[in-house]
Amino acid sequence: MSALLEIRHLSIGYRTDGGLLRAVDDVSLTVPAGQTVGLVGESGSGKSTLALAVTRLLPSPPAEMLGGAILFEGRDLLNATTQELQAIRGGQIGYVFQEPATSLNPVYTVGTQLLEAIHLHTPHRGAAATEYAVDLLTRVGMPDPAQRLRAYPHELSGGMKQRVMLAMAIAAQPKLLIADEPTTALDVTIQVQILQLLQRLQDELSLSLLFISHDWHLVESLADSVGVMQTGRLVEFGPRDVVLRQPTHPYTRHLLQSVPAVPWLEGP
Amino acid sequence: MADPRLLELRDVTVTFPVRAGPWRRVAGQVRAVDRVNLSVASGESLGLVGESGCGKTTLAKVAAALLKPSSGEVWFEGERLSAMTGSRLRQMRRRWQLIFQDPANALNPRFTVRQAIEEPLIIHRLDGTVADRRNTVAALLDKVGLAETFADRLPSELSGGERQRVVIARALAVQPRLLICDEPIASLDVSIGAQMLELLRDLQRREHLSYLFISHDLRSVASMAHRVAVMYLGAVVEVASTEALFRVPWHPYTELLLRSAFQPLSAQGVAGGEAPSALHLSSGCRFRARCPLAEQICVDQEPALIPKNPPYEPALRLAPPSVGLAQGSASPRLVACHKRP
Ligand SMILES: Nc1ncnc2c1ncn2[C@@H]1O[C@H](COP(=O)(O)OP(=O)(O)OP(=O)(O)O)[C@@H](O)[C@H]1O
Ligand SMILES: Nc1ncnc2c1ncn2[C@@H]1O[C@H](COP(=O)(O)OP(=O)(O)OP(=O)(O)O)[C@@H](O)[C@H]1O
Ligand code: SF4
Ligand SMILES: [Mg+2]
Ligand SMILES: [Mg+2]
Repeated sequence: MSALLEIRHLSIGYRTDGGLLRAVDDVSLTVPAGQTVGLVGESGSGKSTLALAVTRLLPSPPAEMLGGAILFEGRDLLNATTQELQAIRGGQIGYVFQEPATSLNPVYTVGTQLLEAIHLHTPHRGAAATEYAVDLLTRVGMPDPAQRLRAYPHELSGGMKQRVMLAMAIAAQPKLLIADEPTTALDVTIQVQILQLLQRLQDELSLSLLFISHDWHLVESLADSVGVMQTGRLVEFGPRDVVLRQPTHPYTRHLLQSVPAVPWLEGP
Repeated sequence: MADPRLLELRDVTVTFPVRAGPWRRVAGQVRAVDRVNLSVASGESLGLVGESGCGKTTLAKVAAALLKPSSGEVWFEGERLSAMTGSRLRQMRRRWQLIFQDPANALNPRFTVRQAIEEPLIIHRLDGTVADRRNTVAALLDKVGLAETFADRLPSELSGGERQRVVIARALAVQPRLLICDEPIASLDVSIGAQMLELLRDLQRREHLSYLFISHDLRSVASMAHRVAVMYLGAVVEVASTEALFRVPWHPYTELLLRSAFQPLSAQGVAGGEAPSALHLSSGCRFRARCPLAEQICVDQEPALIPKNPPYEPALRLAPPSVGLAQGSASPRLVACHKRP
C-alpha cells in the first residue's frame, strides 16, 4: 500500500502582532492511495491550515512554513514550482473548502465558475463541457442541474452552494480530494447521497480522501483511519476502529463523550 | 393570560423569480416557503429541520424581518410587523437577532472582533463609556469561550469555529428576546458545540430567551428544542414535541430523516430518484416521488397543510428540553400526510 500523500513533521506558523502562532506543530500523517483519512479535532486546532498547506494555498505572510515535508506521489510540494502547484491544484488534488460562500465568486453564475474549472483541468469543450457540468451537478444531487447553471451563488441555499463546490472539486477526477467539512451544510438525507457518491468515486477512480469533519457519525461511516488534532498537534492517529473504540488520548475520549445523546433513540 | 406567542408566522409564503435563458429572463417562480404557520412561545425553543434548500434560511430571514413575505403575516409580541412604522421596527429589531448560517459572510472583514461586537451596541445606543464597552466585549467573549486577546483580531485571523463564536457574542450583545439560529454550531467541534448549546440553554433558563433553532444535526436539535417542525420543499410537514417526534416519526419524510441520521451508512438503501425540486412541484403531495407509502390519493390531492393558529399550546415547562417536559405534556402533533393524519 503506497502513500499518495505523506506529511512529515510539518509545522506552520502565523505571524501576528502578538508574535508567532504555531497553528500546526510537528504533524506527520499518511493518506494511502484509495483510502480515506478523517481528521477531527478542536475548533482552531489547525485542521484547515494543514489542509490548505498541502498545495501551498496559505498566503504568506502571515503564514510561514516552519519545517517538514509534504510528499505527493513522492514529490515534495514544499519545493515545487508555482506552475507545478497550479497544475496540481484542482487537477490531481481537488478541494472542497470549509466555507462555500466565500469560495464561490458572487458576481459569476454557477455555470461560469464550473465551466472554468472544467476548461482548466479537463479536455471537455463547448457543448460537451456544458453537458459534463450538468452531469457533475446531477451527480452531487443538485435539483434542476441545467437550470442552476444560470443561477448566481446568492440564489442558492447553503447546501446547494456546497454541492457546487463538490462538483468543481471532482471535475478533474482528482487523485486526492481534500474536503474541509464537505457536508456540514447539508441535511442528512443528502449527506448520505454525497457519502455514497464519494464511496463510488473512490471505487471508480481510486480516489483518496482527506476529510475534515466534526461529525463522528460521518467519520465512522467513511474513514479508514482517523487523526485527532488539538492545539496544532496531532494527538492521535490510527485505524478508525481503534481510535473510536479504544482511544488512547484523553482529548479523543473527551470529544467522543461530547456528542449529544438522544435519550429516546439510541439504537435504530 | 396574554398570548404566550412571541413570534408567529401566519400563512407565510415566499416566492423568488426563477431566471432562465441567456438573458436570465424571469421564467417562473419558486415557492421557497409555502403557506407556513408556526409560532414560538416566550421561553421556548422551536427546532426547524429539513432538506437542504427546503426554505429554512428563507423562513429565518422572514422571521427576522430581513425579507418581506410574498404573502402572509409575521407577528412579534402581538404586533404585526408589516403594520409597524419604520421607527417602531427599528426599535423592535433588537428584540430578535439572527445568527447566520455562514459565519464568513456575517462578519465585516475590515472590522476587528471588538468593532464587530460593539457595532450593535452603538446602533442601539447601549454603548455607555469606552470602559463600559470594553467590559461588555470582554464579558461577551468570555460567555462564548474566547479570551479577550481575540478582540483585536480580524475575521481572517480566526478559524471557522472562532468566527462563529464571535457572531454569537455579537448577537447576545443587545440582549434579544428571540435568537434565530441558522446552523449555529455546524462549524464547531463537538466539544465546543456542546458548550455553545449548554450556553444557549443556560441563557434560556436565566433570561427566558426563545430560540428558532435551525440545524441539520438532529442530535443538537433533540437536545435544544421543546418542539420540532419538519420542512420539506417549502412546507412544514410535521410539528410535534421533540420527544414524540424522535420516538415515533409520523410523516414519512421525518422517518427518512431519522433513519439517515442514526443508522450506519452501510444500512442505508441506495439513495435514488431525482433530487427534489421546489421549481417543479408535482401535483398532490410534495413528498410523493420519494414516499414509500404513496398511493393514488397522494397523486390526486395535496394533504392539508399545518393550519393557522393550531389548536395546541406549546408543551412548555422550561425544564431543560431533553429532560423534563416529556411525560404527559406532549402536545398533539400535526402532520401533513394523507395516511398519517
Ligand atoms: N491568517 C491568520 N492569522 C493569524 N492566525 C490565524 C490565521 N488563520 C488562522 N489562524 C489561527 O490559527 C489557528 C488554526 O486555525 P485553523 O483555521 O487551521 O483551525 P481549524 O482546526 O480549521 O478550526 P475550525 O474547526 O474552527 O475550522 C487558529 O487558532 C486561528 O485563530
Ligand atoms: N435570492 C434568491 N433568489 C432565487 N432563489 C432563491 C433565493 N434565495 C433562496 N432561493 C431558493 O429558495 C430555496 C430555499 O432556499 P433556503 O436558502 O431558504 O434553503 P435552506 O432550507 O436554508 O437550505 P440549506 O439547508 O441548504 O441552507 C432554494 O431553492 C433556493 O435556491
Ligand atoms: S401524503 Fe402520501 S405521498 Fe405524501 S407523505 Fe403521506 S403517504 Fe407519502
Ligand atoms: Mg477549519
Ligand atoms: Mg440555509
